[in-house]
Amino acid sequence: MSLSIRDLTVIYRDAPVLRDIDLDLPKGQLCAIVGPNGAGKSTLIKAALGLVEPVSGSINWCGAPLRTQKTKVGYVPQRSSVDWDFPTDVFDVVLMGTFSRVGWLKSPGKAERKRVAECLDLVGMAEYAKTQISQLSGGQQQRVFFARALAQNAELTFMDEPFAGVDATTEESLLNVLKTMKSEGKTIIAVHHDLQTVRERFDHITLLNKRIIASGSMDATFTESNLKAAYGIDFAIAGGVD
Amino acid sequence: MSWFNDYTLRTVILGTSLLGLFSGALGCIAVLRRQSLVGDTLAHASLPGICLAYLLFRSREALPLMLGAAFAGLIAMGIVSVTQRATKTDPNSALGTVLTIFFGAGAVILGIIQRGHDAGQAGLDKFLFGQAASLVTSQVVAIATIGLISLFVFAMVFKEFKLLAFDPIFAESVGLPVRRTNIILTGLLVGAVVVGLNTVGVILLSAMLVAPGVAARQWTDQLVKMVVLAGLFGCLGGGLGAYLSTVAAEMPTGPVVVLVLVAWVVISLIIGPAKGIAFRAKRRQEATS
Repeated sequence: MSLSIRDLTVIYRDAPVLRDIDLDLPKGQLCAIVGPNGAGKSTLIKAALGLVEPVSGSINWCGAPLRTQKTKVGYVPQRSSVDWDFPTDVFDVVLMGTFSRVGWLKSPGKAERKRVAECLDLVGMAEYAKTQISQLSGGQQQRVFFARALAQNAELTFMDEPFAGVDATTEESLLNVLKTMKSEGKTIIAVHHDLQTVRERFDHITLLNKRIIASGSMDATFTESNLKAAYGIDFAIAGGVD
Repeated sequence: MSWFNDYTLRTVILGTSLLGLFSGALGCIAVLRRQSLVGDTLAHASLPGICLAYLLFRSREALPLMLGAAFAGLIAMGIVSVTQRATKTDPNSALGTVLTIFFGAGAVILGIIQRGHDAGQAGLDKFLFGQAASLVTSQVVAIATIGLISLFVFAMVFKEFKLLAFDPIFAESVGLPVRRTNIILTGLLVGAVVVGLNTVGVILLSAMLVAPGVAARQWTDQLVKMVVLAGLFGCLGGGLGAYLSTVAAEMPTGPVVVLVLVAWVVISLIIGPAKGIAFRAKRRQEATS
């Protein structure tokens, strides 16, 4: 267990969004976080990234506080969180993934540019390097965000709904990127909304509804009773796990 | 070209062009972060700073007044930041509130000074709308010095600025010193405001910051080019506006410069090759035919 969250509580405007979260996630696996709307899925990864301040709790990675190891952490935010009309091109956005390693006030050099070219190649966007970001389709935008996360070369990458609103081809190729990352020993923690696909895409699942409902390997945890506890309604799992 | 031999006119045009150059380039910070009200607040908040600096030093020298303006601007931004964090007010409401309070206080202090029959205060009210005609060489030197320092710092933090303007959440997640960078960027806007006070005046200064950037955005899709073009547009617009206001109309400089720049924004919105209306219409036509 390498990501270790203890006693995490986050409050927004006096209402608890996450309560007493104790969670351990394994290293080197594809981990999904699922739960109904308002369950605090995005908040959980934002707390882990240090973007929201918890009222209590600790978040450790390999035994040390995560907030002291930010260069080891990658992030794929929701696509809608940025202004795609910003005057810049695909290459420059991916280059931003190298900034934390480059350091404050220093410029990325040849090694970083080479790395960006490789990452663009991995997500199938090499020919779009000089394309204005406003010209990209939704799927291409998501590929660019994946490339930026790859450029971070992080041990641990958080993703907020990485497959939301992308076409089937893009989804397929982004899944391959995730598999490549896993084969390199990287850990992926993704908020995922689609219960139909979560089982085949991820190794590990955490069911969340303001508190942890269940967390563990997919086969042991993705059960109808756990889903019912998380969503409050009956689910028939295709293929019948229970 | 007889006007070029006129010392006063040369000083005025040089000063206003430099001012346009610096505030146009630095104003891109406000434009791209969608913070045009920040420029407005800094400019309006500088009025009490100018008046208090005058009362303190009894002088209309450029430097003390500029320092007073910068100081007041920074205090105003500090109050905005504290208010926002303490009360969770929407940023624009906090900015608007602080803007009016500071400007109101400045207007009151200005009124008190003017009633004092103090001969030295003559012209302090020019800070409202600006009077480029009164620019002297020492002020032009001050504009050039502050402007060059600000541009140099802007170049140093350009990478951080770009990341913070495009994706602030990502910037924070990778551990970019967001607070420190924000303070520097605000400081740069303060620099741009301070150099413009004499010339354009506090009321219309934010247009001087924002208009060149908005026009430049219509001509390019690249950030660096946008900043350079904004500087160029600001420089030309400032020079032309100052010339028109001084020679042709004998009007306050601020309004004339702003009208020149706004006219250029309108033209750019129509014919700008990157985002202009005409260009987009043409592309649509090509796409459908």
